[in-house]
Amino acid sequence: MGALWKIAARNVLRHKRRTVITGVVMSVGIGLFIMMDSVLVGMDRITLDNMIDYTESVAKVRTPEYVSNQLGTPLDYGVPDPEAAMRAIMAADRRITAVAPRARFVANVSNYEDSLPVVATAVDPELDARVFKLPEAVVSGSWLSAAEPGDVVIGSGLAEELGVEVGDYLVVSASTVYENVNADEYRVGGVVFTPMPYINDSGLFMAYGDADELLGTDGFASELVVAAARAPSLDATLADADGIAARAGAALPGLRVDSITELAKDYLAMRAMKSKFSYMIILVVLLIAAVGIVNTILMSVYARIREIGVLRAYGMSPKDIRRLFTLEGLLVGAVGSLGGVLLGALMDWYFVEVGMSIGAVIGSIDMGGLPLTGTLYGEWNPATMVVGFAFGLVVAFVAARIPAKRAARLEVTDALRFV
Amino acid sequence: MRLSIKAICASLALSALGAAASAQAPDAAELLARIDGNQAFESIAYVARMEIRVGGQLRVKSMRAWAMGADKAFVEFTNPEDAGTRMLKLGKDLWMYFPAEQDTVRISGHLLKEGMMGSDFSYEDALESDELSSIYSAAVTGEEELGGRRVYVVELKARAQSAKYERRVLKVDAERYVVLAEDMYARSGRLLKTMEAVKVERVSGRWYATELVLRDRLRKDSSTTMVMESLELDPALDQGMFTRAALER
Repeated sequence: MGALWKIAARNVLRHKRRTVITGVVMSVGIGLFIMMDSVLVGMDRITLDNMIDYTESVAKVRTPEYVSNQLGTPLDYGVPDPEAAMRAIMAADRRITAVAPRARFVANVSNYEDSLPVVATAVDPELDARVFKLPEAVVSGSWLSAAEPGDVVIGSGLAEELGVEVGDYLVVSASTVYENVNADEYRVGGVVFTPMPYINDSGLFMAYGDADELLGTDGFASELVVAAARAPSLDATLADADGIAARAGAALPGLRVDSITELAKDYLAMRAMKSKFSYMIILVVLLIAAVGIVNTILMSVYARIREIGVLRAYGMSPKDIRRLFTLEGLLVGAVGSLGGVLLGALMDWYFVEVGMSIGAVIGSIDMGGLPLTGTLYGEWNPATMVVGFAFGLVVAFVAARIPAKRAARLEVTDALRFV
Repeated sequence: MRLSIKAICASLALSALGAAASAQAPDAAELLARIDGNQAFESIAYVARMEIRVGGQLRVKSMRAWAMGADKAFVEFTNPEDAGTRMLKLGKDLWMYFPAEQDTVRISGHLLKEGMMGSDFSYEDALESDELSSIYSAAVTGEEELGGRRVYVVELKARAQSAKYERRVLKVDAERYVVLAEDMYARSGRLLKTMEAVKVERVSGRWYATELVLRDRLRKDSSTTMVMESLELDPALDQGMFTRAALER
């Protein structure tokens, strides 16, 4: 067997061009497979990260009554004693980095010409900035400040539709806690462009002081939003969020704590369906790679059938010939697979470290409301690399074994005459 | 000294005139009671047309409506585009039935303040009856001419925080006790809507505005004219019509 390994290794090195072509085909196929997997996981990650960073947070604390009535965005059923609840949440889990209160309400915003409905949110500007990335999404003006009452921050699409910019004034009208309408004038202090289309198109943020005055509330918090340290992977993010929600829930009897797993359940359900489609894409990539690998190895074996005849003439048994060619295939497969893993790792590294601007790739194509914008980062997935490597070996083994078996069965004279 | 006698005489004369004027101005509470007597209803049934003008565009919607007090209302649209669309209001909840989809959608809370079918009338404006005297304190602040009629200017201030508007300025026909014009203000002091009665008719022994124009002052070039083509005040209505079954029949 040792002698066969040596001969196989020499043969692989002797047929450099053939080995290189086969190895490159395998490397590209397996590398693409690894990269595709990384990008597809990254797409899920960026979508979920955007939800966490701009609208949902890692977990939301609300009353069960509010959740039952949330479609009507009521100014009732708020979190009782939000300050105490926030302290309890911070103490519940060390992974929690910040908590902020929010009050959601539906309002109409008018530029004195048109009036548009908006989803308004009352925020504590400083605390909110610790949970969400909205201040980083400000494209003109500035994020809210408790020191500057009378300012609102609106989505870029809304600003465009109303034809307003920073410094202009808007009238915001909303139903108050007394069930009547109040309206007041606010200065556009900032405009945000976020990965969340609905914030851009109909988002309006105002500081708690202004919202209390407009709505007749007194620090009403429809929800408390929770931030946590970023987990290394999508699965870890979901697991961390579930753990945080469980602990916070235990510390807040009577309140409902929903993790991002629950808050994004529609997306996650869609993702589960999408993953089947993703596997099909990956399968197609693998099939293409497999066809390439089989083709090059088959060609290399068939091109050497006369050589097989010579080996038979020298007295090598069909079994040894079969083994030799299988070993050669495995060696080329190992080299190609290793190259594929290295190439995939290199592409992974690029996507993990540098990322790719989705906007630059898909432009302004509507993704059906999915927050799939920003920079797409890949994710390391060692299991995929192992699968890719093993796949390369198996395909090379099968591709070499079948013609080798056939060649070994040929008569010496037939093999020598084989064209 | 002569000057001071003149001044005293002038002052007395002015006081006498002022006393005469205030004697003519009605008591604000009484005025509100008279307005309520005309416009508050136990039940109402009407066929109406809404002319919604936004910018240069006009949309016309026709409807039949029935209401009992402030809590129960039923509306059916009859214009071709919305024919068969029905609304049922029970308390603070509103259900809309769409015949094409054979689907009922529940609308509640703040949406009741939104414009009905894109008009300047909110669902509350269109479907509720306000008894002003129980919600507002009033003061008569002046008298003037409006469209050739003498009107009292009455300022209403909400006594309850739940009042639909924090402040209302009414111009009340001094003879018929019908509101001919009204400005409606938010708690912040901002003018939200204005109303102008175009036509006043005598219905069931009461004076009632049967054509009025409402303007949402937060929208430019926007107005809705409500023309009541037939109107019955305090008719006997079947309670069964204010049910989900009637809505989805």
